[in-house]
Amino acid sequence: MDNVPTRLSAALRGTLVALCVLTRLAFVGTPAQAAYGGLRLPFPPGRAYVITQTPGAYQNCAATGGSHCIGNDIWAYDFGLHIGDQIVAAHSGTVIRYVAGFGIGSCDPAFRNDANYIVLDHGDGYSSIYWHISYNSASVAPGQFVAQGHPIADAGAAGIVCGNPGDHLHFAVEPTPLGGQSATQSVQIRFDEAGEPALGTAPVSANRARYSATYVGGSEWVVLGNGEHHATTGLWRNTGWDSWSQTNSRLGTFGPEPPQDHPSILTGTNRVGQSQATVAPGQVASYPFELIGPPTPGIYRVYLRPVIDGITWMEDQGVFWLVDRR
Amino acid sequence: MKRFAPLAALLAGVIGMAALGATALAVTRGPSGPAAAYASQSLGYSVQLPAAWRRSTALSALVNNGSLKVGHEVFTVRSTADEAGVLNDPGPGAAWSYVAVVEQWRDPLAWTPMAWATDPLLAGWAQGQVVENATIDGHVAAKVTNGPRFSVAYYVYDAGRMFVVGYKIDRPDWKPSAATESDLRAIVASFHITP
Repeated sequence: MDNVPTRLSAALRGTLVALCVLTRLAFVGTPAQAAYGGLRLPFPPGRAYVITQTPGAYQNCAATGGSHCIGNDIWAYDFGLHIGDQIVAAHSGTVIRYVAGFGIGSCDPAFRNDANYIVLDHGDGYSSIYWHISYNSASVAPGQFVAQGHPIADAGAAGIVCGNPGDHLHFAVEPTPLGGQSATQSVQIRFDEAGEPALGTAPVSANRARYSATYVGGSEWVVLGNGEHHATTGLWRNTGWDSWSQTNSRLGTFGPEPPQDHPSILTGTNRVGQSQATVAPGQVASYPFELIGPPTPGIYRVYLRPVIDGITWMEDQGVFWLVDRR
Repeated sequence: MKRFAPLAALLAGVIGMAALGATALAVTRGPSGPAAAYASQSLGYSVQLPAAWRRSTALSALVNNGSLKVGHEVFTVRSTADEAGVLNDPGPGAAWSYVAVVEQWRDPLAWTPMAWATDPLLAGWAQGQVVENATIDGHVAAKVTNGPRFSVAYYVYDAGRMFVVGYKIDRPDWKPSAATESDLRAIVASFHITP
């Protein structure tokens, strides 16, 4: 099931949207409101999971009697993750509630207080809540701040789950619960890459990768004489969920000129280091280096691409510095 | 005389708060009104239930799945019919609000109450929770206020077992009309480990 996006035709999707709107008007009757945004789907990029229950507003609740039809969960989504599938942060936030000590749950309401869940406070008055995570699978610590896309835990079947084993991810956004509250009333939400996905669809996550970079600036056209030095700096923004460390964050050479990871005639090296000790998600890394005028006149390029030593090359955005050796 | 009423009220409040403070960490009092004893054969404890409170058969359960948790019993003031009406609410649910709970866990390594209560995997964790040393039923205990699973919970160890005795108040709008926090406190305070 994982990694297999389900694509609906535009016509079918349109029909479903129309049905959803009609259903909402017919059975809930609440006025449209601005949905809480800035969310990405709560699983790793490229993965797709079936929506197994939409908010009650988009169900024929009189017929389905769905668990999202009443109470706190009327704007919650259930995703068809299975035990062990990775859940990631739909929004950056701080872990403010953490329960991960229970095993498989059941449909019996007697086990409602034995649910594993994690709550992330977004810092804007709202929090996201991830229910039914597997025993001892949390990838975050109490009080930890995590970036969007950071792994939260593995999916599971703790707490009130119906079915065998009933594993899934129950996800909602709520006003941040006060001390002593385990949950509050969910609010309408939309995902950046999927809007308000319909029942049975399997939207593909475009959440953040662990390592991702976006070029910010620094590319130059430089005129140099033979052996002349020119100090410059490349700037890339950390758009992944993990921090970059000075110990392994580099700016590497990339083809076609010179070949990937080969020393450039313009720099004398294949990789240069990040100047900051740590660059957190959202921050901009600086890679200072020198360009050196080659002996032979001509136009030279050095293509550059950020890399985490020993782990991965980040996005190639075709960035190059150009030297006019006169 | 009238102008001193606010001062008198303030003094009464201070005295009341002091009394509450004095009993908060050394829980020795049971219900003040008519109460009925409930003794749990399966979990090995007893509590005093104020009038109208009862053990919920719908919410009480033994676990029997090999985990550390042995089981729990829940005490509610809701009638069986009232409880049934909210039993299948999703999320934490109204049935689980304004209830007292006694859990028993296996503690083969004889963790202390404080070690258990402050372990995020065993007890969970919530920002702003307050953990204090306490006494309940004459035993050393750890008290957690505003924790992730209970509004107030005491952790108390006895003979390879860890008891968690507490109550939950999730949302004021889920309050049964007959429920009071003082009743919940009284049930918890009456907790007694039986041989």
